[in-house]
Amino acid sequence: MEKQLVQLRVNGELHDVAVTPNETLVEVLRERLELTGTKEGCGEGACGTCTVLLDGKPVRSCLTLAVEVQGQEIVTIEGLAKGVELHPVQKAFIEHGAIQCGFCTPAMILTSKALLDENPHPTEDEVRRAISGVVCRCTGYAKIVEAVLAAADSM
Amino acid sequence: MRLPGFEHLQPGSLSEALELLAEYREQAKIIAGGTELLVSMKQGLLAPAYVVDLKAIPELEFIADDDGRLRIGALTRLATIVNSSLIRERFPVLAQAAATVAAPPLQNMGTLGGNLCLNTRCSYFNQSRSWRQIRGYCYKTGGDTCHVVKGGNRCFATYQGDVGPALMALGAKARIAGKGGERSVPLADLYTGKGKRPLALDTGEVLVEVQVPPSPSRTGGDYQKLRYRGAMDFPLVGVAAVVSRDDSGLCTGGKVVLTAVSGGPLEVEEASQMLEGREITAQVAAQVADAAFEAARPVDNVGSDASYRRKMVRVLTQRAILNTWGRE
Repeated sequence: MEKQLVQLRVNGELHDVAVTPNETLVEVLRERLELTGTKEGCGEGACGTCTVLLDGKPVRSCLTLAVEVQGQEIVTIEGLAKGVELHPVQKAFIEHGAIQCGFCTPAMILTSKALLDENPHPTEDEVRRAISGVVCRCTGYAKIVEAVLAAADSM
Repeated sequence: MRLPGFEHLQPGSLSEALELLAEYREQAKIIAGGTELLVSMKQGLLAPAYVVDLKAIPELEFIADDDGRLRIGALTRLATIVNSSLIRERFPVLAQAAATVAAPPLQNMGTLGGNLCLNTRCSYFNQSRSWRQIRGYCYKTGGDTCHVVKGGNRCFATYQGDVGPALMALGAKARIAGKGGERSVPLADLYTGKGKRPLALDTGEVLVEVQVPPSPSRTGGDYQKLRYRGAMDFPLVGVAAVVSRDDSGLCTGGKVVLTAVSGGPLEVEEASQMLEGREITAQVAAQVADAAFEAARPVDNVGSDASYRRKMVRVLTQRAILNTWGRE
């Protein structure tokens, strides 16, 4: 299995990385680029903690091969804040106590951001459907939904 | 979880892909969305030497209205189907079924072709390698026993696709390509109904397109799905119903297709005859639901309890048929 050089655009920055074909995007993000905000939970696509945005849409980075995403825009949780200025969704999560253990938080925030980019004023049902692919094992869903709706109002 | 090693090939055209698949045969597996293949590889269920990526073949990704007939390329994402105004207006049951697959992020990844070609599933099969080794090999994993049905002489793994039943109820056809040429078959013929080898595809063949004939003007459809959670889970039972009626309100044709109750999507053969020429009342729907109950033979291998799932076939079939009226 030969390594191949791929160019990944992550949070607006280009990275040249030599990867083997069996390396998943979450492995490359965490272990090569040291962007450990993206979590690997189940590794089978079921839990959603590894969510990143690929060309603006939430996908599972544990089921995405790094060699297949060259030329696409990848956004991780590290890419949302502008310097010390947090993204409105991040602020709303803090203000509404939508974080408990924090393991699902990057995925919840990225998924919510993608929803609000497409649909700036979602209904509660639309928020629930959008985040339905991410599991919060602390079961703090009510606060998360409140935070996303509040972020929509503030943006 | 790490993936085993493989060589990644990315053909730029369908003919190039078919050449590669013809050359590497059993050593090659296709990747499109990756949501099924990579999980299977992580669990050690598959270990292809070559993974042939179809994502750089634009000719496989399209939704087209061909004189009333709907044509969808196999590489079309489920999310694209869910959001397609053409499909939502003319074939809403298809968008409805696709919207129940896993959750939106997986619909952004998973493709129509991948969903239709899902492997059958079983609580003794979709496990890690060490789990399976401790239990001993079953028919599905190369052994000669079934852990689910004691004394069973075949594999009872269950087909749990959501989109296939809706497309079958709409009378869809599948276009299949191989290096030697292509063929078009009713979508039902893509499935063998057998747990061990559920797809009637030869080595090197690829599902490339699905075609749905125009529906009569007064046609409604519905897809009912039973699962533990409102997202992520495969169906424990699924029922797709498509029913047409004339101006006087009498049924002119209908199909009912079940999923998650056998080795392939299962059409309730008697349904069309029971529905045709009748007014769709709760009583008629209940008769068809009885026929669906008789046809369904779920076993205890995908969660929940087989007898409960079988009872729910009756409930969901009746519900689906009555809902088609509201969804013309």
